[in-house]
Amino acid sequence: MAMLFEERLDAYLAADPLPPPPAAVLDQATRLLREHHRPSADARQSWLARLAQVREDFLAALQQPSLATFALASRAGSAATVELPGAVSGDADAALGHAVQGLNVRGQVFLTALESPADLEVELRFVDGELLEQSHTDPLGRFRFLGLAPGRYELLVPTLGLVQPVEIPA
Amino acid sequence: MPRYERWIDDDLALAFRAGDLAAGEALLTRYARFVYAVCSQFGVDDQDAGDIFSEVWLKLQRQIVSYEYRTGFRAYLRVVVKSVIIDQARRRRRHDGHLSFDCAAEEGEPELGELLPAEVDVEQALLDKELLDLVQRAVRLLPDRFREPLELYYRDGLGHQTIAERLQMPKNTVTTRIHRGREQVRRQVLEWLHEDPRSIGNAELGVGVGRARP
Repeated sequence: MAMLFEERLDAYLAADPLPPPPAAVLDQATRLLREHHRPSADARQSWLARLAQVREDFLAALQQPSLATFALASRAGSAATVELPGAVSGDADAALGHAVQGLNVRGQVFLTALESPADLEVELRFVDGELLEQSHTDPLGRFRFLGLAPGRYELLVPTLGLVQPVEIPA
Repeated sequence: MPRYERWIDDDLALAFRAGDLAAGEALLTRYARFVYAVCSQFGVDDQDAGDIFSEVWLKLQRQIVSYEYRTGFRAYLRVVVKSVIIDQARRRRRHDGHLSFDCAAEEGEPELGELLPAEVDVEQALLDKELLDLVQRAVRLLPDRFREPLELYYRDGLGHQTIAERLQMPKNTVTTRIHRGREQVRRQVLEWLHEDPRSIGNAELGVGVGRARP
């Protein structure tokens, strides 16, 4: 399948968009999905186990020694900035870390394994809210802003509601 | 509120199986275009396509209980879509008097090629529409600065210079963004294909299964 995809990529890019089904068709399918839903207790147990594992892995990733230079703000406790290694809010499922290196800022967005951290919009704003630069995360959630002037800024990931202050020393 | 749009298929399927209806609806939304495109291809009219579409999700609903983590949701969905299309074709033929229930019972299940017109290849159509859908989903995820020049180039057939003038940017920037946009789409689709382990080797499996009637 991957080979077929590589061969035909240009043709797919040039093709007309697949139209979505008519609203009535989608509504009917959604209604049937709801009406006939019969979850099992076993399925629920295995899903809860998966959620617990995901949460454990997420917290473990934030506690890695290599990330000790990152300050992390959890989405659940948006006012708090946690210096690692340290405690992370109990129900946080997204975090934003950054490190200042000279006039550059590099950072990373962390999400639980349920979600991809790729292609998230990251903004760098002046403290008065004015937008300075925008960037997007790579597949691992990493991003960077280069050649900044000394001063105080804010890093934001708007879709996740993550905000973190940044200071570039003179 | 979970951000289902960023979840991988397997987690959505597992959550749906466990009782999370919103996860099931997210799967439906994610695959609606793909499934409907296939249904439209094999339905006799819009009404029929709509009925096949509903039947796919109803059947998925019934069978999701047997879904296991890392089964590969797209491969799973493909099997469901294919079986619904074949069932539909079988019903249609029975209705038209070409195939009786007795005949099916006595002579075993008819071959796919006996049920569908000679020029139709279900498996090929499924793969083709699925890949097209994945590419178009990946294009929709691109940031505007990559998506716009990419669509103008591939879909509208404009040259780099014309795109540069229209988007008011240097021609070299247009060239770079088309190249990078294409590469991002390529990487994203390959990532999705690898998330779904059963998808990787299916090209060889799939092509030519729906063969022509002798």
